[in-house]
Amino acid sequence: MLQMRTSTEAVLPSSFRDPSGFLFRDNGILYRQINRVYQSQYEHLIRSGLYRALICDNLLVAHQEVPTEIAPVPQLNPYIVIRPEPIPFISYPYEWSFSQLKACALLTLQVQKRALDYGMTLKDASAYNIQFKAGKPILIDTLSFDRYQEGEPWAAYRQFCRHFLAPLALMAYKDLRLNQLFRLYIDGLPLDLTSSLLPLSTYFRISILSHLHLHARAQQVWSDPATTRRRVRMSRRALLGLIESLETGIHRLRPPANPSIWSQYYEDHTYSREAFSHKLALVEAFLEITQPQTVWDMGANTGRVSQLAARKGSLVIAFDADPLCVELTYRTCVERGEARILPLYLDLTNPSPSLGWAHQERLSLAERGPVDMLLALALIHHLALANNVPLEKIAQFFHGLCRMLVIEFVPKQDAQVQRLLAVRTDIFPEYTQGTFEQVFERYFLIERIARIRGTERTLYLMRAK
Amino acid sequence: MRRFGELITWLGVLWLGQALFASAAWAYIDPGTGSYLFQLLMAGLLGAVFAVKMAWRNVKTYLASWFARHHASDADIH
Repeated sequence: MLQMRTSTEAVLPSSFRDPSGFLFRDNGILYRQINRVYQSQYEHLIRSGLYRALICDNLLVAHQEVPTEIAPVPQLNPYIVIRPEPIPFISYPYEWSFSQLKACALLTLQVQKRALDYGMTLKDASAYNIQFKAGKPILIDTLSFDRYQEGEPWAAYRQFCRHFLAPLALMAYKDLRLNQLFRLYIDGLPLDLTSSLLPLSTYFRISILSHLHLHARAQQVWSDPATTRRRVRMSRRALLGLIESLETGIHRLRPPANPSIWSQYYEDHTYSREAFSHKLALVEAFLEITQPQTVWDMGANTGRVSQLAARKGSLVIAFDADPLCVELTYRTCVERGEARILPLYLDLTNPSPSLGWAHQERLSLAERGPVDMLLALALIHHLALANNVPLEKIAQFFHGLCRMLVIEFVPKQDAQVQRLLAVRTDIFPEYTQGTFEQVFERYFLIERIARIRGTERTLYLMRAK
Repeated sequence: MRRFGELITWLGVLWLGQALFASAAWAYIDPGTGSYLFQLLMAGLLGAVFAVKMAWRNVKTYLASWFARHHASDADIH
């Protein structure tokens, strides 16, 4: 994953586009080298008071300046090296729900407005520059600021529309799943494609008409860079009008489903109340034994077990393959001020891959591990029976993801499994509890086994070999 | 006032649409050029709408403070 330069230092392979600087690791700690070419902008960021203002409002990740001797590429003429506060888990826009992407879009515009107050502007507006820290979005790229020149348009306007407005509009007016187009188009959704996919009714929404449909058309009509040589100015008031127009447009976007329906969307009818309480008690006991700092809850549903792990002090990533479910969990976390849970979209049968230049710009799920504890509750029958994944492959994959595993075995006599097998031939003779234990013991040591009261299901605590 | 701002926006957007669709030509796309020029084309419109919005906000703030003062002095009398 990292391009090694010496035994202790490494430049992140995703950090190469901006000549202002780059990220590197030294003894596991993340640093950012700022090159001499960015000196005046960095000094203005600090001396103008913009940095302090952004930090006070939790809009930008804080950093400390450290000696430049640590810089791994001295020939790039380092001006300064900074150590940003770490982000516990890096997530990507194709893993966010509608409201998460919307929050990131509004944060970007808020930062841009604040930057203009201090004579600076955002030189880029990439969704990848925003991450979630303690439940809230935050800008992580300290080098995103440039000096504002009166009369200049916003250089990041196109990127903002591609990274934020286009996917949000498609999710709001078409389908929540269209956020997955981000996986195909790493630099945001092409505006002509977005315009063609949006329903005709969006031509009657001013912000969508202007910033997406007409903007897309403008890109087709004016494709010759020579035309930009004409000396035309964009006043500061017009620039503020542009930001305000984008902000209003994004504020008005709503996810397509009525949230009131979602409150009953994922009530679990599999368990009796007593059985579910017992399952929670068992998971709680396992968490107390192992004290994991990080937990990945695979198939988190609406996050009830994730909440339990968060209460025990773990930082939890609550993955689910249903975008509505992720949306609901995120809204619940925001309402409760939950800082220890990050809900994310993930289809475990096709998890987030390595993407971008040389497959190294965006990390796969596995590259972001291993996690201290992986929760695979009420999941194995979906993988093994509904998706035909052999138990051996499940055990092997989980072994690469975690140090500890809490997994629930759901036998064939369970009502949920019976439902899965009701309309298909049972081609899974090896799907038995005995085979399950035998296969998983090749990769894990089984430390605890407990039957969930009132069910045929069994909960295991395992440690990776 | 808000309706007036929206009317100005609509007229401007319609003019923009006419300008763009009238000169339709498919060419190799330089994505930055179109976005850059589109902002400049929108600049006058955006600036006007922003000015109207700001003026309206100032009026609302003034009226709100005037009413607040008025009610406060009424309360003092009673």
